[in-house]
Amino acid sequence: MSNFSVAFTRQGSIRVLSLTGELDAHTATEFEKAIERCKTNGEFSIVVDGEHLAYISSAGLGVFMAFIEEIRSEGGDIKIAALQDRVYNVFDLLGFPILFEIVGTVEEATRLFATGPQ
Amino acid sequence: MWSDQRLSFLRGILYACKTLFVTQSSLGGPWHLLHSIGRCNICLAWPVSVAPIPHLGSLSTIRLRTLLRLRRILAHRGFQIAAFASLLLATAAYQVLKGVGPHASPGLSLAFQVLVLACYGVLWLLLESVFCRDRPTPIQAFWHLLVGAAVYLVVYAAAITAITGGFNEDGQPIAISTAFQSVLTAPVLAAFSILLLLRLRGLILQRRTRATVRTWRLMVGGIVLAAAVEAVASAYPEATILPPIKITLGVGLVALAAINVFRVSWVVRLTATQKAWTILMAIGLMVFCFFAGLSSAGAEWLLSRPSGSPQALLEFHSAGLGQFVNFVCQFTFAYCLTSILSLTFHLPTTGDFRRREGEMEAIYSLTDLVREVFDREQLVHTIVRSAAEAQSANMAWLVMANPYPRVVAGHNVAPEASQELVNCNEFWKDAGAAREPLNLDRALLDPRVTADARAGIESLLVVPIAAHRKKVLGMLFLAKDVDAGFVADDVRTARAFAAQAALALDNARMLEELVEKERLTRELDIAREVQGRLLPQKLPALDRIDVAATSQPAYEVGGDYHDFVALDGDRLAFIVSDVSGKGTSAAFYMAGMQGIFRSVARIAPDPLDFLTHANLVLYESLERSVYITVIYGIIDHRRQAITLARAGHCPAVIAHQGSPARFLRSRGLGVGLDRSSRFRKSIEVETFDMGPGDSLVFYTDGLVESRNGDGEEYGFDRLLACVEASRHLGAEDIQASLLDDLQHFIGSQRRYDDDLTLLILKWRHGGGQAALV
Repeated sequence: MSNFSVAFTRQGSIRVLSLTGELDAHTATEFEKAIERCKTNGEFSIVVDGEHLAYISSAGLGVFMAFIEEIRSEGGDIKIAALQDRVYNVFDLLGFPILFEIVGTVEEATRLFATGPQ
Repeated sequence: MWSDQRLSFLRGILYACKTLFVTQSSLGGPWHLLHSIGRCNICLAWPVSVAPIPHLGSLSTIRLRTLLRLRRILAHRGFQIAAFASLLLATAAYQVLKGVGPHASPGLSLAFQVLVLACYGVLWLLLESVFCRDRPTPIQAFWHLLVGAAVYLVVYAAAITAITGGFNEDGQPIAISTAFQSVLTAPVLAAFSILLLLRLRGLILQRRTRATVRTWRLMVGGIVLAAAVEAVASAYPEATILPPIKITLGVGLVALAAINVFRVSWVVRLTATQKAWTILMAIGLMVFCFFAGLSSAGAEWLLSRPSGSPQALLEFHSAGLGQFVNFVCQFTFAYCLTSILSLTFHLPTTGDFRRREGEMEAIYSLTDLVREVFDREQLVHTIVRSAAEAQSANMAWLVMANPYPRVVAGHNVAPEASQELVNCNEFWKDAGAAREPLNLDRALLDPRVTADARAGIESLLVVPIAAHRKKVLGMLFLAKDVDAGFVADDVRTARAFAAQAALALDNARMLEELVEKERLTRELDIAREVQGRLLPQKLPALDRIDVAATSQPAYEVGGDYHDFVALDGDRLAFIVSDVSGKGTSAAFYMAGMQGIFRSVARIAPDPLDFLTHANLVLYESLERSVYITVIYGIIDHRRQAITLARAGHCPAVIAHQGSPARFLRSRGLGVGLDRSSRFRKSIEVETFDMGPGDSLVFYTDGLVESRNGDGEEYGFDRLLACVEASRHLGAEDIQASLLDDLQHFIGSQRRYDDDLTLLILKWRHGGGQAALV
C-alpha cells in the first residue's frame, strides 16, 4: 500500500539512505524508523539520497528537523543529495538550504563529510 | 362473452357451496355457519367484479348485504338474550301445556325439537361471546366448570325436592309436575354442557394447528348432527333409515373423541401444586358427568327414590338435547380421565420441566437485556446472576479482560474472593483457545483450580463468551458443591446463554464507543467554533484596497491562520501562516501563533522584529518536527506601499499593472526551525509600491498541493495562470475564480485534503484617504 521505501547502503563510514516514492504524513514514520536505526547503530553521518523521491510533504520535512539537532550534537550530520527539482523547491521554499547541505550527488555529499564540518 | 360471465358466476356459486359444505361438515357451533356465509360473500364478489353484469351484480350484492346484516344482528348480545329468552319461554310453555302425554303429531314433535335446538344454538352464541373473550388457564377452566356443575346440582336438587314428579318403571312420567321439573332443570344442564364444550375447547385447542382445529370442529359438528338425528328419530320412531345413521355417527364421534381426549399439552406447563389441584377438580368433574349422564335406572339406584335422573328429565324435555348433553358428558368424562392420567404421569417430572423452562427464561430475559441494559456494570451482574439461577449453581463469576483477565462480577461470591479460587489466566488461555465450555466434574483435582475443599467448588463449568466467533470477551465460571454437577444438557444451555451474553456485552461495548465518539464529535464541534473565533470575524474595510479571505480546514480544526492588526492610522499589519501537519495539534499551534501576532505585532511591528520574536517564542513550544511558515506584511496607505517578509511560506503572487503576475520569492527560514541568529539573518524584507489595479494573492500549501484523481498537484503554474486570468477582477472574484479553478482541477467529488487559506488584496482604482478599522 505504501509507495515509499528506504534503502540502506554504505559508502565507507557514511550511511546512505536512498528514498523512493512519496514522503508524506503516512510514510514519514518509515523514514523516522530508518533514521532511528542509524542512530541505534551509532551511524551519525547520514546522506539522504533523494534521486527517486517524488514528493515530500511538511511531515516529511519535519522528520529531518526532528533528528538533526541530536545527530549534530553527536558530531554527525544529515546531508541531502540528488533531489529532483520539484522536491528541491519544497526544501528551498522553507529555507532548508540554510540549515542543511543540499548537494547534487551522493558522492559530493560523502566528500563533504570527508572535508569535515563547515 | 356472455358464456364467460355465466361461467364465472357459476364458478362463484360452486365455490360458495363448497365452502358452505366444508364448513358445515366441520361445524363448530352455528357460528361457523355464519362465518362460511361471510366467506361466500368474498367469492361471489370476485366473479362479479371480473364480469360486471349490472342486474346480476346488484342482485348478489343485495343478497350478501342481507346476509351480512343478519350476521351482525345474530352477533348482537341483546338480540341473543331476547331470542334465547323467547324461545325458552315458548318451549317451556309448550311443554307444560302438553303435560305428560305424547306429542299431538310427529310434525309438531319435530317442530318443537327444532325450536329447542335453535334455542340452545342461540345460547351457544351467547355463552361463547360471554365466556370466550379471555383465555382461561387450565385451573380456571376446571374451576369454572365445577362452579357450573354446582349451580346445576343446586337447581336440580331444588327441582326434585320441591316438586314431586319423576317417572314410573316403564320410564313414563308420572305427573304433570315432571314437566315442570324438566323445564326447570333442562336449560341449566344444556347451558352447562355448552360451557363444558367451550371450556374444553380452550384446553384442547391450546396449541392451535389446522389439524387440532379440524378434529375439534368435526367432533362438535358430529355431536350437533347426532342431536338433530335423535330429534328426528324421536318424532318418527318407525323410520328405518335412522338407526344406521345413528350408529355411523356414533362410531365417527367415538373416533374423533378418541383423538381429542389426548390433546392435553397444557398439562406440562403446570406446577406440581397446580397439577394436584387440577387432578382433584378433574375427579370432581368426572363424578358429576357420570351422575349427569346416568339413566333413570341408575339414578334410582343412586338416589334411591323414583325421581327423574337429570338425563331422563332432559330426554323428556327434548330427545335431541338429551343426546347432545349425553355426548358432551361422556366426552368430558373421558377427557377428565386422560387429563388425570396425564397429570399424574407428569407429576414427577414437573421439577425438570420447570428447570428447563427456567433456563429458557433466563436466556430470554438476557435477550431482553440486550435491548434494554446499556450499563455495563448492571449487565455483568445480571449475566452472572441469571446464569447462576438458570443452572442452579452455588457460585458464579464473570471474568473479563481489560486488559488482563479479571473478575468483574460475582454471584454468591465477592469478585476479589473469586479471583483467588481459580487461575483465571490459565483458564483464559485454554478455554479461550478452544472457545468451548469446559466441564470439570472434579474441579478440585484440576491444577488450575486453586481453591481448597472448603470453598465448595466440587464441579466447575467454564463457559467462554465470544463475540463474532473471534474475540473472547469474557469467561463465565459456574460452580456447584457436588461433583459432576453439570450434565451435557447444562453445557448446551450454558453455550446458548453465553451466545446471548456475548451479544449483550458487545452491544454495551458498541454503545460505549458510540457515546464516546459522540462526545468527541461534540468536543471537536466546540473546537471548530472556538477556532473560528480566532480568525477575523470581519475583514478590514479599506478605502483603496479590496480584501477577500477564506480559510477551510481539512478536518474539524486546522493549522492555517490569517489575521489583520491595525498599527496606526496609516498602517495595517497582516499575517498568513500555516502550521506543518493538520488536525488538532496544528490547531493548538495556530492558536499560539494567533496570540503572538495579536500581541507582538503591536509592539514590534517591523517584519524582521516580529518574525524574530515569533520564532524565539515558538521555537520553545513547538515539537522539533513541527514548524510554521509565515508571511507577515505591513500595508502602508500613506506611502501606497506594502512591506513583506516570507518565513518559509509559499511565495505570494504579485500582479503589478502592466507586468505579468509573478511569485515573490524572497529568502526566509520557516518559524521554529532554528533559534540562532541564523533565522533573523535568513529573512529578507521587501517593499513594493502598490497602485490602483495591482493585486497580491497569499495562500497556503493546501492550494498548490491539492491533487486530482490522477495524483497530480494543482501546482504553482496553474495558480499563476489563474491569477493572470483573473487579475482584472475584484478581490472576491479573484478568490472565487481561484477556488473554482481548484475545484475543477481536483474534480467535483473530491474534497481538499489539506487546510486551505486564501487572502487577496486588490488595490482599487480611485478612492480617497485610507481609513482603517
